[in-house]
Amino acid sequence: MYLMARCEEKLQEVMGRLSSEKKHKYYVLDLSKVEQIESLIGQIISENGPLDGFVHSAGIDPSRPLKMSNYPFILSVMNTNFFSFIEQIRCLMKKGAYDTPFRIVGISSVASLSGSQAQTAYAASKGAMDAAIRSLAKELASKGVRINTVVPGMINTEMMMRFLELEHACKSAKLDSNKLKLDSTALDQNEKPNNMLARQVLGMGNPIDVANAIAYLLSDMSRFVTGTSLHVDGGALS
Amino acid sequence: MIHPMDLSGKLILVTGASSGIGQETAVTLSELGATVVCVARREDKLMQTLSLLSGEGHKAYSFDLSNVSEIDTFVKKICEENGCFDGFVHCAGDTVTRPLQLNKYEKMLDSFGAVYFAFAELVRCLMKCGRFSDGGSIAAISSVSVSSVHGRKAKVAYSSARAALECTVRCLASELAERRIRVNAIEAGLVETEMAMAYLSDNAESRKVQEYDVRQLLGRIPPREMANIFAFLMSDAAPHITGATLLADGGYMQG
Repeated sequence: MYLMARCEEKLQEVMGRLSSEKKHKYYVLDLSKVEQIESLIGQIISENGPLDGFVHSAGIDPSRPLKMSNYPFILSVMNTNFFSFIEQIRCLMKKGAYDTPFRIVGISSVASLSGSQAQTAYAASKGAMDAAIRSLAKELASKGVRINTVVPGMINTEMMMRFLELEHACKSAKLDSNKLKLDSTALDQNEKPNNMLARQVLGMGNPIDVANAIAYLLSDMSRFVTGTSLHVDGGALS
Repeated sequence: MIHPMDLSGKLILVTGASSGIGQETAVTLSELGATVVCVARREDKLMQTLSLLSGEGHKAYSFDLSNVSEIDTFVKKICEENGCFDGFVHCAGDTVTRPLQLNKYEKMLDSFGAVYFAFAELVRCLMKCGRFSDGGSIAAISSVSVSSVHGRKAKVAYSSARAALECTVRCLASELAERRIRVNAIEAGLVETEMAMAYLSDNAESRKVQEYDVRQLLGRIPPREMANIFAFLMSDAAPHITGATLLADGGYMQG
């Protein structure tokens, strides 16, 4: 397994958790620098030979109201979440870079299908991904490549915790501006439960729930599955 | 007699107005009484659109929307010269077919430029103080290729740019609801525009093109029909439609 991410320290931490004695490796790259992907993929292939699968789980989730969602901001979200995904696939689909059958899994989000405030750029990047894999599934089928996305709902990750904290802070600020009493009881009474979490009838998901879905889509158990988006959302979209 | 789609007194911005659905929409909106501000790249074609509009006071601006970083200044200018907008129809965009290996990063950026980045930036700039009326309407053209599970080959850039647009439409609908501004998208099937016709005649033998004619149960859609849907969304006849993706596909998804 070859891991790729921005933060070397965290990569090393993950390396320590990987089981088996296989030669896992890691590479440090900030995927928002899309133009650097081609050479790194080239390096990975020349050092390790052709790959059997690719999972794109890199993503940023910055909430910003429309007023502040200017072009450079939207572009930066699109670069990390979507354009890097396509560029990695493009570079992996070169001769000698992959073995067949080859499987690709992208991590999308329920934001792709349900709009919410201040999520313009994030939702767009995930929607683009879900549309792209439907087209790529057709284009790459003859090469022995399957491609799918997993569509997680709210999952107990650091990113989600940050998101919930931010949401909480925004609500508090709103209450403040309305000059409501701002002790903790007032907050609890006034705060509605997060809509998406309320719709998630199975409660908050765990990272392992998404990991299992990815493992399935990478395995031969899903050999007849391509161009789909698998919802792992505790029922949120149902 | 009351006309539910009367647009008298409304000022509406139309991008991609030099041809096809954009041009037809500009004409239809003007016939319903709106004052239209047309934007497109090609000046000569844009002037042709201007000459087709009924009534007075319409304007045309030649501007390349793929220069996203210049949109802020551009919007400031058109708002100063024309006042506060009541509607915005986004039809800019072209059709791209490009196999994966040619789909390099710069090419992807190109394809997202006028279709998606420009839309997001136009809306952001239009929402600044005094530039867009509360209760106004925003609508953008998308394509049935986004929803269609029959995702087509070599259409990664085309369909993902429009998917991004549709997601943004849903988020904006929720964000702009407090101003009662509606935001919607229309997923078009095969519409008989010059752009589509050129594509069809180049690819008449391809299975994909033939498939369109089979699946689109009611046949190819005249551009005027798309314009009518935009007019409906711009009018006061649709005050509670927001965050929606209207399907105008002649039965493609069904067929």
